[in-house]
Amino acid sequence: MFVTSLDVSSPTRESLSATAADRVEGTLRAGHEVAPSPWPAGLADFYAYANVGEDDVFRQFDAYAAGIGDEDARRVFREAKLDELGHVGLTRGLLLRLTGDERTARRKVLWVRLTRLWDAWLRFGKAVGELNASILLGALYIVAAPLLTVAARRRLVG
Amino acid sequence: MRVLGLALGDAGAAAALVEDGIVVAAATEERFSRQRLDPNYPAQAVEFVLGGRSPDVVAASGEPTERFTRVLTASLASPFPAGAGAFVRNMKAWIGHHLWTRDSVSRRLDVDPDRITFVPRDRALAKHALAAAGWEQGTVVVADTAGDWACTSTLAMTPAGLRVVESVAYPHSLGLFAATIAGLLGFALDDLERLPALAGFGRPVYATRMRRMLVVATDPGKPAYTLDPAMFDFARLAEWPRSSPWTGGLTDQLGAPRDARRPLPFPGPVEAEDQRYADIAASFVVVVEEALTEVFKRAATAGAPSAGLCFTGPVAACAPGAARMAVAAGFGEVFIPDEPGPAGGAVGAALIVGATPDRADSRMAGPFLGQAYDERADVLALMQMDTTWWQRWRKPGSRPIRGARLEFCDAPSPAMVAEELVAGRVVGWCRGAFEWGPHARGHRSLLAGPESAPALLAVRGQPAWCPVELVTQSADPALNDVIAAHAVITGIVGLAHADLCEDDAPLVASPADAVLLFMRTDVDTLILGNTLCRKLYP
Repeated sequence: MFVTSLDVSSPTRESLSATAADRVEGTLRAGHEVAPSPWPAGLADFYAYANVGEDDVFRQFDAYAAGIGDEDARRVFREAKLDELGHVGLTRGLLLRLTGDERTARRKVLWVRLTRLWDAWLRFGKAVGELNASILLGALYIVAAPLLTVAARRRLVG
Repeated sequence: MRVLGLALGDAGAAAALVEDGIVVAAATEERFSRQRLDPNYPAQAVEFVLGGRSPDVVAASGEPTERFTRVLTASLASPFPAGAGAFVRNMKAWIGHHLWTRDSVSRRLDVDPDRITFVPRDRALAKHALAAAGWEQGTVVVADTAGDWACTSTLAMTPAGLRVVESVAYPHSLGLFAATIAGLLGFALDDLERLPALAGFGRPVYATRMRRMLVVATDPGKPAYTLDPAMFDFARLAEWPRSSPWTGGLTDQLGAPRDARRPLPFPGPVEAEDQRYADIAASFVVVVEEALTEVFKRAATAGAPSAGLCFTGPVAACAPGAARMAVAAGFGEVFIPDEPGPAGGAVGAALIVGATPDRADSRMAGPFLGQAYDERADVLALMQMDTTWWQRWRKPGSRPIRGARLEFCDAPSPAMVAEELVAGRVVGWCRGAFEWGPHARGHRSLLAGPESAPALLAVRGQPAWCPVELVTQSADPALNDVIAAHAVITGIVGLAHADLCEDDAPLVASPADAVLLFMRTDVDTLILGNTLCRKLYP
């Protein structure tokens, strides 16, 4: 029994979908159920994070548009920049709706920026640590390997 | 007692839960992360198997200190100073992470470090194989890549316990040999199943050369086989693909490695270069089977008290003739578990640690130990999608579609599924809990009538090894009924069957994964629980 088809017109599809939904065991209520947020800290924090990300991308395209000499490429980057500006506004608007006031929204955005700064610091620290470890282990290899290679090979050969 | 089993630090990280000697849940991390052979800590698999409970004890497959000594020895044995890169990389990984596995697992699970036990990997894999076979006693051959030190082990399970009868130690590893050949042929090093699939298109013209690399010894005083160390440098595996685990000696014998970006043209007209790759794969299968024959012969005479043989380890996935060889060696019965890879160690380690004096034997209830899903939300999502979404997700080169139709029923009847197959459609079937192991056993399957097998293989992409599998009424009544209904219409008993996944992706887990696969590829019909969705073509 076919109850819906994706090649029918949109209003028909919606009514058919509703019929079909009722037929599925347990009755799904489309539009009434809100899926649990996959973002552990909550939806507002997610939108703050998304807003910061979109803002960064906007600044990136802005820099590209300012820096490139070719007029056609600059036009493309300007369009992309405007598109990103729309995303910034959208995420900001959603964040404001969820938090209810500008002050909380600003605090959340600031917190995300600080978190990203801290992450960047950790990444830098890790890179320095990795470099130190590589130098130390490399030096250890140059000193120890000539002495231990024969023993290691003997161990492998049995 | 509730025991959480873990397989860590290798391709195919996994988690399993054993309660009072019974395996109640098991899953590999790749199913959740959608990253094939995911080697990261199996956080999502652990979350699924525990289901909010906390374990009494944790058992992990493999002993970190043993593995560390092996890796350190191998790194130091590499040619000086060319081995510096491998040494630094290996030591950074081990001193930085792997050596402190006990502490990191303790922190993640909030479990006392004293309640975490490490089990030698060959014993864990052997125990898993025996439990999957349902044997209380028997002989097990574990053909591993490089677990702790042992690479190929023969173990005997007796009332006194599990004991190692014979073992071939690192670096003489059939698994690493297979990984090297896989790398040479442009596959992922862990993707050993590609080798028998490609071997089907070649002839073993390189077998004589390979026998110089993998030397089989019939003298009982020597290891069953040895690898020529001049051909391999396995310490460099850590640097793959920047550095290769083979030396110039091996490429002198077998030729240059394949460019992985170039697709293989099989089946179809091929150039001489492509034929060389297939010939190398065919030669590899022949030579490895010769080595395994010797291992099986020794296992048969080792005094193990069973007429049957369990064969497990990653090499089991690339030795299509294992059953034939074991029978030739004198075994009456051969069993290869659904999960022959390192992930099986999660179940085995948990069973060994969870064994009690009154319940020394342990069995697995079947392969369907994974997560079961409610597919209703995904069915609704399917209904809401319009064709622009479908077109956006379609894989390049797939047939254009006009839309799809949904059909609801209490349960898809065997006749209904059989009609789809008889009509020449490729059917994806997603139902119940997903399988333990890398392959579909009926709950995440692609089905086609025998005449539509090429269409089914086209969905999968590159050549895949699809061994013959028997379906019984007791093991899977629904699939058995579909085969019977198909046989009534066509007179042919049997269907083409493959895993419900794309070429480089793991087997689908959730209905959402199945829907995405259905949208992207040329699967004609998707059955999700009680819903049948059929594509409409122009």
